[in-house]
Amino acid sequence: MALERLEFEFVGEPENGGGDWEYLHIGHVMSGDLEILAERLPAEADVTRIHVTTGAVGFGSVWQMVIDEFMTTHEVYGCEIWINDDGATPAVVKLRLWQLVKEMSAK
Amino acid sequence: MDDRWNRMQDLPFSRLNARERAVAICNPGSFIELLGPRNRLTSPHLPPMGQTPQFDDGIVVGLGKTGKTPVVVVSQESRFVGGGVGEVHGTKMVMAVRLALRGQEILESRGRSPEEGGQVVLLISFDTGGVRLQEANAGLLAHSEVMDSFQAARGKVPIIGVIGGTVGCFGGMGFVASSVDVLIMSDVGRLGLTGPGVIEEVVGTEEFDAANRALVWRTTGGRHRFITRDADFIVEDTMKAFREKVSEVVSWPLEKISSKRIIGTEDMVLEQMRLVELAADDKIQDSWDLWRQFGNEDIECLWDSDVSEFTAHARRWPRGRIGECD
Repeated sequence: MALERLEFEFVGEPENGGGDWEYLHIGHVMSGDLEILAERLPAEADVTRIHVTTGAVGFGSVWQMVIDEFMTTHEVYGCEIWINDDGATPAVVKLRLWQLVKEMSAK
Repeated sequence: MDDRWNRMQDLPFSRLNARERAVAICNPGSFIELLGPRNRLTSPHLPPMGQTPQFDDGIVVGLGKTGKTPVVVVSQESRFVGGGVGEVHGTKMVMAVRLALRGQEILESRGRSPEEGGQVVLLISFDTGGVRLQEANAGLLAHSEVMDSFQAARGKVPIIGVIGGTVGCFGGMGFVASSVDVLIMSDVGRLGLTGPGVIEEVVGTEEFDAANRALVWRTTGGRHRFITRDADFIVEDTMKAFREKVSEVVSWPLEKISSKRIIGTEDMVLEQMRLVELAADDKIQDSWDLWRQFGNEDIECLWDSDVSEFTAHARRWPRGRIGECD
């Protein structure tokens, strides 16, 4: 019944480009969807922490794969990302993360 | 920023989310959100029940401007637990009403005239099924506090309600929406107390078939609410149509806006009871019977006509006190 909380941490060179954003918010907590809140850490920070809260318990390894792939592809270091998930499938999670990266560079 | 604002004006109001509606109903670039997602003020009650919380608890509140008028905006998000009112959601709404009242007191003490932006307006976009069942006590309390502050705002801060979301406005929030000064709805918008699904569940499909969309909309939809004068205006389902109607109402003198209120005094309650009596009459089996009672003839044609034609031709409940200021 309780929610599951998952924490991921990645260390790497923070990108210098990536648009002028301080924080971003996308998505909704509704069945099969999720919301993402991203905050930019101070410029020198080389770490990205991703906090996932989900009602679908027991999918930690799937999250690990999706988020590993996301960080390998997009290398968004230097931010703090919170995800509130209501049973989104990996495909939806990837779409939302892709939307996040798009908004990061659009700003 | 203004590009996005412009784009949103042509989109259906029903498709926008609560934050987009709040931004797009104000002047471009004027909306400032209070207690937004970044504050992460979430429901403490949902996680123990296995429901993921949302950072804004399904409601957007903030300040903006319509023309020169300062507005306090409240916008409910139906995508999150059906727009249900919980403790945080409700408190944000209550505090927004109080903020509007307090802001008005301050502007008045500085002697600002309405023309100089000295009249605060409260604007609420309803998109909710009412109380959030997981935290019903707190939700109910919020409902009564909101209605209490509406009474306190009477004749001081005009309250404009809009209903045009996909859920509409049901449950306790149906009462709240009925207590505003001016209510604007679209064809998509629905207003009621007990939702169609609940009626069907309790008294059976023969009484009310919630799967019958035509029946649901002609009973709770904007057109019927316009005819029975629960809604003051019906507009097209575009962001622009809602914004233009809101700007128009905002420009009215306070007395005119206040005169549109339909409950809050004994006389008004008696007036409402007349409508209830009429609806309880055996001859009224369907909302369209009521339309006929008010002198509407070609009902199907009226139902299919576009909004401007409907507004021009619909014959509404001849409520005594409203006739003169229509």
